[in-house]
Amino acid sequence: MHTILYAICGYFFLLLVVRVLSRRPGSQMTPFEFVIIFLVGGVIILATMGDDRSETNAVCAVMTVGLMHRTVSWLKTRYPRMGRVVDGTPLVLLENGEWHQDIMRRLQLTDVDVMAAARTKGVKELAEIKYAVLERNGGISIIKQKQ
Amino acid sequence: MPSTSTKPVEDSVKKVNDELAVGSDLEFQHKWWRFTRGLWIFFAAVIVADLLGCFGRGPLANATARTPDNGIVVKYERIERYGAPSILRIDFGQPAIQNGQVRLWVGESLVKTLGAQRVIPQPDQSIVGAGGISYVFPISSTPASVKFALQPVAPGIYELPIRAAGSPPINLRIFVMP
Repeated sequence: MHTILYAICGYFFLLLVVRVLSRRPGSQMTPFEFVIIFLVGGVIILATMGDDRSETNAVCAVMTVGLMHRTVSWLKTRYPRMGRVVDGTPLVLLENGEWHQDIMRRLQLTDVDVMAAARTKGVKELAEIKYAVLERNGGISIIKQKQ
Repeated sequence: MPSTSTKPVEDSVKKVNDELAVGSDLEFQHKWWRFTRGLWIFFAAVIVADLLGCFGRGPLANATARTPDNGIVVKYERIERYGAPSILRIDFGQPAIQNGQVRLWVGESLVKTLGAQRVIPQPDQSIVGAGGISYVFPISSTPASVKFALQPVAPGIYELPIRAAGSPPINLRIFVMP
């Protein structure tokens, strides 16, 4: 019984903590973000399982988390506002050669992060970028200037 | 082959400069940043409260209760945590010692809810009844003390009455955090 309640609380608490971290973990994970994911995840697992290491308890916990994930996914589809709360909205970081400094500062992103994403698109320098957009999944999309 | 329902594509995603469909919502984003700032302040407050012992395991959680005649002095944690081990220590003064022994009675919540795992030292006798457990400890010299290793079995607020023959009773109130 307590495992299910703890799994539900743990799911929402982890969702909240990961969501409020400025740099969204997901795409472009550095060792810095890995530390957060593994450490926080490990702590939640310990509290959820408690002293009961049985197969039954583990299966119930996994099923609860799965059901919570499914429910939140459904709510995101049904209510767009919920989607904005859970995943955030895409944000334009660079637009026509101008940085959106306020957004970059609040997200604790640097030009190096944008350039890292740009290189994967074959972009050699920042001047070649028309738009850089931080996506909901944490990745940075790059739209090149027209030649 | 079964058919699936279809719907014409609408240009529903908000554009930047009328050319790039991004769908950003800066108004929401600013509200979210305000919320997260408040949340981090709350997290910091929770950590400070935890360090102080507001949720157990800290200076504010430690407590001492004593009878007016100092027959029994109990050192315990007024805020415990569910499933976490702790020690409840009882020191006996001269008024509680009779004929070289202490007859101690503790309420049944010691075992039922606060999860007493063991008593150190082992009593000569332990008798269950009258809503609690009676222990008899031989005492050779003062100060003498016994320790109960606790591990609460459920969250909640519990009363723990303690009484030693020859000394007035003490009633402890212990809050067990989830």
